[in-house]
Amino acid sequence: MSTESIAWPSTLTESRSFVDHLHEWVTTLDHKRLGIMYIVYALIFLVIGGVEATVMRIQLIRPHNDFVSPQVFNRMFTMHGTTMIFFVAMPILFGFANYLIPLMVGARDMAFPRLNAFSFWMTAFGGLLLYFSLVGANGLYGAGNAPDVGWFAYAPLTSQTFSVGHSTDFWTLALLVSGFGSIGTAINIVATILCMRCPGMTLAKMPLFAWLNLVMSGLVILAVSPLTAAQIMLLLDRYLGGHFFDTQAGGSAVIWMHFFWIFGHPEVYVLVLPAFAFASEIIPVFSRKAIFGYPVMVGATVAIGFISMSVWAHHMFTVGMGANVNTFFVISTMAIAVPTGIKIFNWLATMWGGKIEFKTPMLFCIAFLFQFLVAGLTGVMMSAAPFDWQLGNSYFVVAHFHYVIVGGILFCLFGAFYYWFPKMSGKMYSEMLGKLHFWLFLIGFHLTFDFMHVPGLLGMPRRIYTYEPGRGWDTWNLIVTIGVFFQTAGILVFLGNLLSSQFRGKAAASDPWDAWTLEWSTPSPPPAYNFFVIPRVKSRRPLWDLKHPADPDWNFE
Amino acid sequence: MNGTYIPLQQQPVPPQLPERGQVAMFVLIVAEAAIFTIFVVAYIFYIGKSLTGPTPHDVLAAPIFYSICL
Repeated sequence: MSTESIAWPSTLTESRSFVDHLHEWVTTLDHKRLGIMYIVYALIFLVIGGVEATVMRIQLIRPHNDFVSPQVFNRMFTMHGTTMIFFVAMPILFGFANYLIPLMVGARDMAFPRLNAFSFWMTAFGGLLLYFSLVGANGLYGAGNAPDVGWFAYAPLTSQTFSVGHSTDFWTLALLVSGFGSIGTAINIVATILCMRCPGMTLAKMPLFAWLNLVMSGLVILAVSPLTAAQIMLLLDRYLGGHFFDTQAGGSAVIWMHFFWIFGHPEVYVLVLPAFAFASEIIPVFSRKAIFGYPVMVGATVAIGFISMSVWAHHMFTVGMGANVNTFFVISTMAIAVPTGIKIFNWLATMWGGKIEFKTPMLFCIAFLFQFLVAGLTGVMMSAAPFDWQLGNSYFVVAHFHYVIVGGILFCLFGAFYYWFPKMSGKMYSEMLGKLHFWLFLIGFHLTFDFMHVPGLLGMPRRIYTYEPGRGWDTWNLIVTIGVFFQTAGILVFLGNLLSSQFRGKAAASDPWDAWTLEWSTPSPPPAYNFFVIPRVKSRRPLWDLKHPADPDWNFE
Repeated sequence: MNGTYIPLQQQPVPPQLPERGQVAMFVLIVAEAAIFTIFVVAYIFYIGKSLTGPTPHDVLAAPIFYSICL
């Protein structure tokens, strides 16, 4: 396998004006630059969504608080949920997929570079459209500004009668537009993985990162499309006299729930599979062992993909769907814990007996393992319909899904940032600041989301604007809000670390972690064409083979 | 340019891999089919739900003339 590469011609790296740089980035088709743009764009929205969460938590820090008005509170939770799912989590994961997949499969770019750029700009436009509602949604009606219908926008709240003005239209159009971008990116990822692999890289020799992103893209295709259809029907309702979800004219609010959650639950796996992909790359490298049970990990991933399409109505147990339907979704929801549990056992088995290096990426992945286990266990609890009837729409549910999204996905994402930062930037980050970020965020996460379960168990409903004192919720809410400040401090350290390392960090070698996948065979950062010569691989760990010619992996695969 | 040659030409695709255009078009059709599946489900769900009308035929007039003019 060749690891040769050459530098850019000197004139292309000479100093140029800001406008020239901007023009290069805006018109780029390079998968790495598009990946970085996805990530930077998502980080900006992460800060915005984080501010919205902080506003909500300050409002709930004590009973009878009036830090913001009820109307603003409604807008905050709607914008926070929509932003974090559609304009932080998905773009940031697409960014990593864009950057890493061609490098990992030994290709020079994604299969369709122009479609790639188009998809990014559609996603970016969607996010801007959502936030343009703050100034543009008043319209002629003079009512409302940002959307305030919740991130799942249940009918009939979204009808013209109850959502006067254009705020709901901005929400619908933003999701529609970014959905087209997501579908374009998913098509590109599937085509790249299936058609652009380097010689020798059979499906059984692909990095797990590629496998997990392949299944994730399949889920995007199958899950985002129903949301697109539902948004079109909602627009028909609002502007062309349709009655799909208009309960006063024969429409059904429940069918909106079905259409939304047919998207909404697979979406959880769209987000968590790339997180699994990060863990599957980071844990073996910092355990100094090959991943345990590669074929089983692939099988579990595919199983999760299939089962995740049949669990959506567990979000609707409190609607009253009938015993048979409830039973089906209870069983399917419990079943998905099996392949997920297999993955957790395999990551633990990878660490077992390994020479574990507790670098920052590994710390985040170890925390992910424990936190995702707890998130899965509360998920199994909620999958029992009678349990869900007691706690549906309570803060227990909010704590559960934040345990999944923050404790699982975001922790893996932070691990991924630190792991691939040297490759993307060519600079090493500060390990001290990385660990400070880890501990601050870990403490903040557990203060917030461990203790958030309790007011839920005590009956505190989600989306509540304020509450009466003396219900036993006061102290818990105070602790939850204090945790948010720790998380905010952690995020500030993280951003400071990225920025200071980018400008003043030590130069990174091409393979600072002694890793095994193809991206580490290129210089840091990789040249525009990735590989001077397209590599040829014989095993799942081509760099191991290169470094240990006397003991190559392909003897044992 | 300092004259360094950058070999940007595409490497030939190994014959065992599927053609990327075909794969992309297949996935696009799957995505479109998923969208229209939801429309069809909605249509089936609402069949016979409104017995008194007005039906779409009663309230919607396709602006064929103006469409042609536009």
